[in-house]
Amino acid sequence: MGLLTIIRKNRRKEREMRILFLGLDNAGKTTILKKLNDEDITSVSPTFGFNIKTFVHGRYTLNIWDVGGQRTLRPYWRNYFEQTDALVWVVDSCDRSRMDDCKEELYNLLLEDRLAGASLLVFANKQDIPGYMTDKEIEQALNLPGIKSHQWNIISCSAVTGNNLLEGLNWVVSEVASRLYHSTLTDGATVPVSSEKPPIIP
Amino acid sequence: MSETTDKTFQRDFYSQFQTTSDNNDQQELALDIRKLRKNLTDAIGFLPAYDQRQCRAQMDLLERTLEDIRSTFTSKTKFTFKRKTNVALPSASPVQSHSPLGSQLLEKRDGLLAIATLNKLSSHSHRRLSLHGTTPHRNELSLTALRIHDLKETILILPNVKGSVLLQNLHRCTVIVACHQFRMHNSTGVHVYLAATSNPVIEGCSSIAFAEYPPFVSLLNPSLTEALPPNGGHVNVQDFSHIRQSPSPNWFILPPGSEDWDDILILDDAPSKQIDAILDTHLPDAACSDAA
Repeated sequence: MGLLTIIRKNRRKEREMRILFLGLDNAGKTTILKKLNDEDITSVSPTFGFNIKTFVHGRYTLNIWDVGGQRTLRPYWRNYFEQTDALVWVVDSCDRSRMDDCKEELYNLLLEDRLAGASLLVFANKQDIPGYMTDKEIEQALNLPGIKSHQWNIISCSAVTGNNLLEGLNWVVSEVASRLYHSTLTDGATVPVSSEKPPIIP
Repeated sequence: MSETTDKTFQRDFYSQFQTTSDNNDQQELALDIRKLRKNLTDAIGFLPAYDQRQCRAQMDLLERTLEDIRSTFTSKTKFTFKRKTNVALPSASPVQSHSPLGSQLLEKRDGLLAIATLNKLSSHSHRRLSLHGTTPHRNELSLTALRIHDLKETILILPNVKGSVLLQNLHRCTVIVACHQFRMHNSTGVHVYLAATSNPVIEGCSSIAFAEYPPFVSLLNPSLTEALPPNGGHVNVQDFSHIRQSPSPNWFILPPGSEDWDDILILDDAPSKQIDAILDTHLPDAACSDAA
C-alpha cells in the first residue's frame, strides 16, 4: 500500500474541504457566505477580522474561511493559507478603477507556495448593479488565461439575488473532489451546520 | 522564524524610535534605520519571498516616516516664524487663498445628475453636489452602489444608497449619506453625516468627523430619506489603520445639532455671490485638512 493510497483513504473518511474566500474590500465575500447560508444580509458590516462557516454540501463538509479585505488586513491573509483546498477570489464587477489593484493582489496570492495546487474560482459578484463588467471583461482585466499554475474558473454571480452562487460552489467542490477523492459531487443542497464568528485577529 | 524576525524588526524600531524621537535625535534614528536596512539585506538569503516583500515594504514605510518627521520638523519651524510676522492679518485670508472665489458651482438648480454623469465625476473640485432629482425623476433615483473618488472642497448630499458607499481621496469635503455599508479610504478633513445599517469603516484617513444624518435633507427632497436606516450608527466607526484598544486619533464625533443647515435649504434663492460663502461655512476648516 503506497503512501498515496493511505492519504486518500484517510481523506476519504473526513471528506472535508477547506475553502478560502479572499478579495478586495467591498467585494461581497461575507454577503456571499451569508446568502449561501440563508442568513440576513442586510446587517453585514465590513469584516474586521474573519468569519468561519461550515456547510455540508453534497457529500462533503466545507470549512469556509472568509477574511476581511481591507488593505490593512491583507498582510494577515497569509496566516490562512495552510491546507487550503480551494481559493475563491471575489471581485466587485462594478469596481473598474480598482481592477489593477485586484489583479495585483490575486497574482501575489498565486505566487504563494502554500496555495500551490489549490483550485481557483473567481466570483464576478454584483452583477445585479447596472454598469457591471461581464465575466469575460473581468477575465481579460485580471488576465486569467495567463494563469497556468492553478485550475481556474470564473462565474458571474450576485450575492444580493443569490444568482449563480450555488453553481460556483458546485464547481469548487467538484473540482476539489476530483482532485483529492477521485470522485464527483453527488447531488444535494447546501445544509448549514454551524457558524461562528471569532473575535478579531490582533 | 520569519514571523519573529518581523516582530523583532518592529519592536526594535519602535523602542528605538521612541527613545530617539524623544531626544529629537534624527541623525541617530536615520543611522538606526540604515542599520536595519542592512540587517534586512543580510537576511534576504533565508527569508521566504513573501516575508522579503513584507519586510521591504515595512522598511520603506519606516524610511518614509523618517522623511515625514524631518519635513514636519522643518516646516514647523518655518510656520512659527511666519506666524510671528503675519500675526496682524485677518484669520480668513488663508481660507480665501485655499478656495478661490472662481471655483465653480456644479449645479445652480435642483438638477438631476444622471448616474452616467456620476461616473465621470472625479478629479474635480466642486462646491456642491446634490443627487436629488426634480419631481418627475424622483422615483428613478435609486442607487445600489456608489463610488466617489478624488474630490476636493465639495458638499455631497447623497440619496439613500441601498448597498455600499466607497469614498476615496476626499479632501475637505462634507458628505451627507445614508447607506448600508460605508467605507472611506485615504481622505482628510471630511465631515460625514451618516445613517448606516452597518459599522462605518475608515482606512488611511485623518481628521474625519462623524455625525448623525441631519433631518433637513427630507425637507430638501423627501424621496432622499425614504426608508432611512436608523440613526446612531455613526458612533461605531472602525478605523482599520488603528487596530488597537486605544481610541483612534483619526476620527471624532460631532455633537448632534452642531450645524445649522437652514441656509442650504434656501441656497437657490441666495445671490450667487453669497453661495460660495454659504457653502464654505459647511465645509470643514481648511486648517484641519491642511494639517493632516
